[in-house]
Amino acid sequence: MPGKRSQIGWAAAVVLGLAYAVFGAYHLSPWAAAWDEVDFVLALDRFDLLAMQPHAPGYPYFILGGRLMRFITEDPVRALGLWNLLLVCSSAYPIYRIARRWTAPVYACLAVALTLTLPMNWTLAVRPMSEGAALAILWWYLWTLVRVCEKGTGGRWLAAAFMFGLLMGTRLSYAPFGLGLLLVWILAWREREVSLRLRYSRAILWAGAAAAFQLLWVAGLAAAEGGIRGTMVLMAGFGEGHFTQWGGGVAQSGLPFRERFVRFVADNWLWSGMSAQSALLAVMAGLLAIAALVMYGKKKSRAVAHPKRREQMLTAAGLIAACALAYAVWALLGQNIAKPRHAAPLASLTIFALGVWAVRSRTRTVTALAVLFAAGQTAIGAHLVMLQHDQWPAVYQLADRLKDHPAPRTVVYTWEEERVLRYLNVPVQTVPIFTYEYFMADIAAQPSSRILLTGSVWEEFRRQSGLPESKVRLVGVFRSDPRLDPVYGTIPLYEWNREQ
Amino acid sequence: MNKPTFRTAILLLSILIAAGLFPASAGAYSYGSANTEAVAETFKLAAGKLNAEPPDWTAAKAAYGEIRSELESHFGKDVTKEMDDAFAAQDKNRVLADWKGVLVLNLDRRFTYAEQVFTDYNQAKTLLAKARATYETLKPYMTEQVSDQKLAELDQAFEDALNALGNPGLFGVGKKEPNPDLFKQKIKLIYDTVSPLFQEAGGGNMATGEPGASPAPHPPMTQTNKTNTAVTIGAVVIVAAVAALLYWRSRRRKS
Repeated sequence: MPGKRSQIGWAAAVVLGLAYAVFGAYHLSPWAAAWDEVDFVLALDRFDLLAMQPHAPGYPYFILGGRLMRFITEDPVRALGLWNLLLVCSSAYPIYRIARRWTAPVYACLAVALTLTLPMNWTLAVRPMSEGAALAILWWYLWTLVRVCEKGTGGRWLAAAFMFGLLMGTRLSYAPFGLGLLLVWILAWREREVSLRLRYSRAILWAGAAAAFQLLWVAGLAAAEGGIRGTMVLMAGFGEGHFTQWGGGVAQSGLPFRERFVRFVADNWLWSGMSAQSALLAVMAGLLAIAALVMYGKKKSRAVAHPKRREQMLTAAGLIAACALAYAVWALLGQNIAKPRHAAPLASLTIFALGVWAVRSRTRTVTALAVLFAAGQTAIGAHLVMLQHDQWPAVYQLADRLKDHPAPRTVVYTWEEERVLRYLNVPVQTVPIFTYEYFMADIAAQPSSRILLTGSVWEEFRRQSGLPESKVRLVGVFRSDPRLDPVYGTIPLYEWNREQ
Repeated sequence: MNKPTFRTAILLLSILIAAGLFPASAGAYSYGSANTEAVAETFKLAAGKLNAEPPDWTAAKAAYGEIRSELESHFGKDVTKEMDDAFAAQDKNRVLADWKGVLVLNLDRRFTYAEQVFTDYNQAKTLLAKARATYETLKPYMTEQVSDQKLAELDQAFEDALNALGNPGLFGVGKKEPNPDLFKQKIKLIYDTVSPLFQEAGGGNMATGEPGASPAPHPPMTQTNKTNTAVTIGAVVIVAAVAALLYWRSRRRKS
C-alpha cells in the first residue's frame, strides 16, 4: 500500500530505530562486573582459553566483533557492548521479516518494538555479555531457517547454515536451536517428489556445508590455542567441571527438579526475563493476553487465510516452537539456574509470539493495549538501561572500599567476585576459596595478616562447619540492583576474628 | 511438506534429544579449570587435614598416597623416602615443610620443561599455568616473609612470562611474537625469589635451589590421564559417527 500514510509510517519506524540505537550508544554499560564479562573483556587484549580469557568454548566471533569495535572505542568494555548493540539493531530486520509471515507491516513493526525493548534483553544489548550478540544472531538464524523451510534451495540452506555457524561461534549454549536445521534437513530428505539421486546429493552437500561453517570457528579457535590436540585437552579439562560448585551460587545444581522447574519458568523466564520483576509489566502482559483471547473467542468470522499462506504460517510457527522447546529443555537442565539471562532467548520469543498473536485478533482494543504495553515496556526498559549505566555494581563498590584501606598484608577470600577484583587491580591479595579446611590452613600460615571474607564465603563456611556469628565482624554491605547483578547483587564484607 | 510428517519429526527428535543428549551435557557448563596442578591440589587438601585439631593423619596420608608414585617418578626416590619417614613419624611440620619443598621442585620442573618446549605455544602455556598454580598454592606461606610489593612483582612476572610466549592471535588478529629471552629472565626471577624462602624445608635436602637440576625421567606433560581424555572423546565421536552411518543404511534398506 504505497501512499503518504505508509511513507509517514516508515519514516516514524526509522526514526524510532535510530533513537533506539543512539540511546543505546549513549548508555553502554561501563562495567565488567561479572566473572564472564571480565573473561570477555580480557580476551580483547589477549585471547587465551587456558587463562580463561574467555572461558571455554571461546566465543570467537563475539571476541572478534569486540576487537573490530575497538577501532571506534578504546575501552574494551564499551567495545563489546557496542558490538552487541550493533547486532541487536540489525536484528530488527529479521524480526520484522518473520513477523510479516503473520501480520501487516505496521503490526510487524510493533512486534519488533516489543521484542527489542524487552527490559532484561535490552540491558544485555548494551553490556559486555555474549548474550546480546547471540540473541541478535539467533533472530537472523531463525529467519534464514524459516526461509529454507519454505523453499528448500541450496542458497537458502547455505544462508541458514552460515547463520548457525555464526551463532555457535558466538554462543555455543544456543546449540539446541540447531534442531531447526536438522528438521529442515530431514524434511528435505523425505520430499518424495524429488528424485532419489538429487535427495542423496542434497543431503550430503547440505550436511557438509553446515559442518564446514562450524569447522570454521572451531579451527580458528584451535589455531588461537596453538593446536587441535592442546585445545581438545583444554576443553576436556573444562568439561571435568572442577569448579562446578562455584557456578551454582545461591541455587545449587542439587535443587530438586520441581523447584528447579518452577524457578526456571516462573522466575527466570516470566518474572525476570519477560517482566523485569515489574508488577506493572506483568499485569499489562497478562491483560494483553486475556484481551486477545476474549477477542478471538468473540470473533467467529476471522479473516481466513489462503491455504497456502496458512501452511506457511504453521510451518514457521512449528519450526520456531520446536527450536524453542529444545532450548527450554536444555536451559532448564543444563544451564546455571541462578542466572536469569539463560532464559533470555525464550523471553524474546515469547514476547514476540504474544505480540504477533495479539495483534492478529485485529481489534482496536487489543491493538491499543499492545501499543500501550510497548510504551510501558519501553519506559521501564529504558529506565533499567540507564540504571545499569549509572549504578556502581556491588562488586565495584567492594573493590573501591578495598582501595580505601590499603592495609599491608590484607587477604580477601571470595568466590566469583575474585575475578572482578583482580581485574580491577585491588591493592590487596585476593584468594578464591570454597573449602573451610583449606582456609584454616591458609590463615594459620599467615598469622599477621588481616583476613577479610565476602558473604558467599562466610555463608558457605558456616554451612560446612557451623561457626558462631562471633567469628566475624561485619565491615560493610555493598548493594546493586539484583536484576542487573544476579547472585552478586548484595555482597557483605566480613573481617575474620582470630581470637574468638 | 505435510503436517503429520512434520509433527512426527518434532516428536521423535524431542524424545531423542531429551533422552539422550541432555543428561549427558547437564552440568557441562561450569567454570572448570584445565590449569590445576595435582601436587598443589593434594597439598592443599593435606594441609587442611593436618591443620585440624587433632590432625587427620589418615586423610592426609591418603592424599599423599594418591600422588606418591608420581612424585617418585618425577623427583626421585629420595624425596618420597623423606616424606614416607615424615608421615611415619607423624611430624606435621616436617610433612608440610617437605611438601612445600616438593612444590618448589615442581615449580622448577614446570619451568624447565616450559623453557624446553618454548616453541610449542600450547604446551609451554599449559606448563606455565601449572607452574602458576603451584606458586599460588605456596603464596600464603610466603606472605609473612615477603612484602606485598614483592608478591605483586611476582604476579606481574607471571603475566610477563605468559606474554613472552607470544600469541597466535584469533583468526590472525592480535598476533604477538614470542620473546624467549624475556621468558627465561622472568621465570628465573620467580624461581630465584621463591626457592630460597623454602630452603629450610624438607629436612634440608629437598629444594636445592638449582634451576634445571631436578631429575627428569619423564618428558613434559606426562599426566597420561589428560591425554587419554582427548583420545576418549575422539573415539566416542568416531564410534557415534559410525553408528549413525550404520543406522542410516539399515533404515534405507528397510524403506
